[in-house]
Amino acid sequence: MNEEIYASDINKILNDYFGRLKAKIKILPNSEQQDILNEIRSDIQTELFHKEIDNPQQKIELLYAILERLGNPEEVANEILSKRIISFRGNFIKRFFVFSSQGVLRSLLGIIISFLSLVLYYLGFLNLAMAGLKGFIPEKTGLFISEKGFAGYGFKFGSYDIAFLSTTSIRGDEILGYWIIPLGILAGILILAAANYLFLTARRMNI
Amino acid sequence: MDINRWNSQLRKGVLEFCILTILERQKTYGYQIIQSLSDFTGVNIKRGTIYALFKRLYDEGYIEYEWEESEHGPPRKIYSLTVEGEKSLKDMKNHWDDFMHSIKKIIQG
Repeated sequence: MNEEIYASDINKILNDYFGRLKAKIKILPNSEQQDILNEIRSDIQTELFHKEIDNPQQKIELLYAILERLGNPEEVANEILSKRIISFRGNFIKRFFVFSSQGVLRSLLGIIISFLSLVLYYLGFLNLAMAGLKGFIPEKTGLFISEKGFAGYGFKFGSYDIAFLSTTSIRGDEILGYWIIPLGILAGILILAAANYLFLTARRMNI
Repeated sequence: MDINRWNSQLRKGVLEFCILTILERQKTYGYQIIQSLSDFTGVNIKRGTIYALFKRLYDEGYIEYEWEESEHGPPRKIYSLTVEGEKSLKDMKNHWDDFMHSIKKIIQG
């Protein structure tokens, strides 16, 4: 094995390791990610250079031994993230994800987030649909109030009710009027953006 | 009682103290600190824990770092104590002495 093959093998092993590690610490700010990766890479290479070994094959074996001692990228990332929660300066949602991505909470959190994202997507599209349909079926679209109070938020489409928080069928009087058009568009966009953010952040954290 | 677990927790509990003490003697880089800690503690401390600890000590203003080019090998992240770190270390040493004194008294009866 010549020197070039040796260097290329070392780089390949390191790139693979750091690619996996980087994917797991994506939640951290970019500058911090880079700092962590640079530091660990520097320490690995220092240890590698520290031992005077000329045989390329032995050098590669040493690299594997160093990486094994370091732990696999997922373990290292979990350690960093779980300890970083104490001082992490991200926003609340990111802190929540960092905290919750550890250990046994992970699966449960995945189910809850999937469900929550679906509800938000449904609500977002419902609001946009209501804004659009108000022009065609004004008396059957909007916020409905009956003598007993809240009676539904949605629209009647043929014999079907498509609504949110309506226990039975939509009934009562519609009270929002054409305000549902700007409100529905605004609410729809905001809710869809929130659903998307939640979904993508969870995906970045591999929950 | 699981003695190994107790021993490991005991040593991990003073990691910050040890890192600051090592840096008081000389500014140095992560790998060297990890080596010294490993020699001192005799337990396999996870590297991720150490890197997170460096970051926390840095965020709290106890240590600082600079990247330094190395003639033999890659650039190194060299850590050193800040003035705040020196003050805290002094306090920690006082508490440590009190603590050791109390424990000795308990052991000796």
